[in-house]
Amino acid sequence: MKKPKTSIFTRLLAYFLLILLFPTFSLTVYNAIAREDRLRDDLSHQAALRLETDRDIIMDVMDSYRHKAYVISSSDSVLSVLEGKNKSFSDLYTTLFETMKGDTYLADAHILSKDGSIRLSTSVFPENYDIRIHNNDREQGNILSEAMGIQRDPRASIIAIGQNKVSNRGYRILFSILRGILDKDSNLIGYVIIDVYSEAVVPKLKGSELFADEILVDKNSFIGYSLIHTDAAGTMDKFPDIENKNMVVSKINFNTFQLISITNPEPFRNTGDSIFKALTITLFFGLVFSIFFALIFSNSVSKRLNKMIMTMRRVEKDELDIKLDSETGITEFDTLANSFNLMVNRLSLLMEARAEEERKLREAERKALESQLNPHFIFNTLSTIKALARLDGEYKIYTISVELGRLLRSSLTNNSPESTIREALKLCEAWLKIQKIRFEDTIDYKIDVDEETLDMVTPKLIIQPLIENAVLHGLEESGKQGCVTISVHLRGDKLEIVVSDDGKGLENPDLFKDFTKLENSGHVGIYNIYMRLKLKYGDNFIFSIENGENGGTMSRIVLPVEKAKGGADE
Amino acid sequence: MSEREILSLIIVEDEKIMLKELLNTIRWNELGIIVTATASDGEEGERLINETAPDIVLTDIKLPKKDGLEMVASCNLLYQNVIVLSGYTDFKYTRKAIQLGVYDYLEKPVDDEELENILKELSTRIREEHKKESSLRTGNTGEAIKLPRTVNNHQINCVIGFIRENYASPIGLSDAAEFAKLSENHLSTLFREESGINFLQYLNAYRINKAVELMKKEGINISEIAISCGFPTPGYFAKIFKRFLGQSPTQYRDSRF
Repeated sequence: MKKPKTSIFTRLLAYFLLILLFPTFSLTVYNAIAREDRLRDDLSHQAALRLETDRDIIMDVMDSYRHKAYVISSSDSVLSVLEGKNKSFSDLYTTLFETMKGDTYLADAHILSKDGSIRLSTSVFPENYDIRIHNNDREQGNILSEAMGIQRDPRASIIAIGQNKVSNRGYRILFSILRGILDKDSNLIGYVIIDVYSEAVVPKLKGSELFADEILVDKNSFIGYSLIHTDAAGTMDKFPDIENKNMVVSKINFNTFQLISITNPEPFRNTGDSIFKALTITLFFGLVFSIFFALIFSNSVSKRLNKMIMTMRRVEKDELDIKLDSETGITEFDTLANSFNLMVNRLSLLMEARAEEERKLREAERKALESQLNPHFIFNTLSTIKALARLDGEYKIYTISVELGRLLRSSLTNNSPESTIREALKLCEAWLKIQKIRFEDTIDYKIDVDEETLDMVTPKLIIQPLIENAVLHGLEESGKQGCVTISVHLRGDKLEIVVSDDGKGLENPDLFKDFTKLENSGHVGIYNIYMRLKLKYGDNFIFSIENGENGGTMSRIVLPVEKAKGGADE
Repeated sequence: MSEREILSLIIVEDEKIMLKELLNTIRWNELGIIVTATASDGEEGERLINETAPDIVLTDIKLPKKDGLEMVASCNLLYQNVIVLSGYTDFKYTRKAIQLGVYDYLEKPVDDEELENILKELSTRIREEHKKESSLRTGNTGEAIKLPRTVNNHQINCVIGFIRENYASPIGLSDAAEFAKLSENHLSTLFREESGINFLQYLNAYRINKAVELMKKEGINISEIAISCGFPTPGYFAKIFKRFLGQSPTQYRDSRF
């Protein structure tokens, strides 16, 4: 169950990393689950759009060259030459070049009479269009053979994929357009063929960076021509990628052609990679930042904590005159510092008080040691005095030493707050015996006590001060023979203690009407009796000091009866 | 001689002046007590107690060689016949003394009046006990002293059995208390309540009965009888014998056998 110890820094770092990792992780998970599909959709959608554009471009190019073929095939100069009306080709060439304008590096136009006798071209007339050579040879992909082999409207243009043929000028032919040339009676007299080079189309296309391949397919012959890979053309078996699931198809020319795009998986993969890369970078920087901030925070916290610890260490070494800065700007630290300062302050006050107390105590002890004799020695000495006195018949010395021993023993050993009447009277008697000898029998005493009260318990030292009071104030001052009487009686369920003398009586009896006023008077002993009785019995007691009926002073205490536990121990 | 029996007392006190004071100022005659011996250390005290079998021992607690309580513990003596004097710092001993059941203790400087009162009380009690002892005499030699063989208390019966088994050895109250698993104080009280006499009286009486039996045989002198019956010394035996049977062992033998 022992908690592992970690520093604030480690904890902060852990928390920061947790905070950092949570979104990163969820993003990664989300990405792994949803992103791929969405990217694929995005990609195919984009591919379709680009393909549409490309298709339009291709159709535009086809249309423009078809139109050119139409213009050529219907031009008078061409007709006149093919019909043999004009032997000069100059007009025809003019028409031909005019029509092709400056496109001769993108396309070649060829004119061919039906029997092949007339062959004109914007460049060198290609051999494979020479009917004389290839009349019956139905070469696959030769547009001319195709045109001748199919029973169709001779006015309609035929467009065919170039099958990677290269023109005499070295260009790759993307497609060729063939149009029959008819005379006024609609008899076929020749053909116009325009070979369009891939350069006419490919540079205009938009999809090349997105697509792995873009293939123009002739649906009749199933011949394809790659617009991206210049070496790939021919039958479908040359395009194994066509099975790719990322293929998008767009129709061209009423479904005669199809433009097929194969989406390049690379950009997609790159997107995945880049997300991974981004995550890695985020994580890396996150880690760096986490460490950085954790360091800053933990430093700011631990710097103050360390300061506090240092301060507390000093307090441990009893340096109490120090204070913590309570203006750190952080509420918790300020509160802590304030409480700490308060505590140290109180501690130092306490320490001072204790030191003062200790100093006083030591002083008292020193004084006691100086002034006090070893009790053992005192009692032994008293014992010896007593023995000597007895042996010498000094009865007074004997009495004083015995009674003094009794009084001393009681004050030194009896720690109980209470005493029995028996004990109390014995001490009173001891005191009185000594006083009697001191005053050479000018004072005397009487003790009148009910036997049954002897084992009753009262707070100790309540009778003796009254006797001392009676002797010292009542009798001694009067100077004449006097007597103190102690009487202890049971009055119903109350214990009555009366100390009376026959001395001069009280000069000012009103003084003892209210004992509470005696605290700072010369009668503090009386005040103490009153306070102790008050504490123990509340209002359930009587205490009075007044002038007696026959002169002298009479002190009276009435208390509830209280038996000693377990009876007398005497 | 007055009617009352004179009792013997031994004082054990190491301070000479105290001893002198006690001897000279206590009114022994009025109390009917003779101080038969004094000792100034525990070992001497022990020896004297065993030899003279005093009725009362007055001893200081702190003594050289052996303290007062140890001394009493190793004697054939009941705590209840001991009065202890204690100094101011002997409070621990004083309390132990009270627990052991000493008759009383007085703190120094001792109030002689108090001491005399206590001695008076104690000697009165002892005299009564001795009267009781002599009242147990049967007059015949079969069982010289009449002792109850069983009482109504099982534990005390066990202790009586213990006495019968071990009377010849130097046993005391502490051994019996240990045997019966009672405190010495409690056993002492209980024994007196059940049998009418105290433990030591019973033990001594039993030993005397055995001694009387041995006297019938010729050729055994009194000293040998004393030792073989478990008495610590012949003097002790003689003293106890006289207390119970009113005659010294020799007189008794001569008159009876």
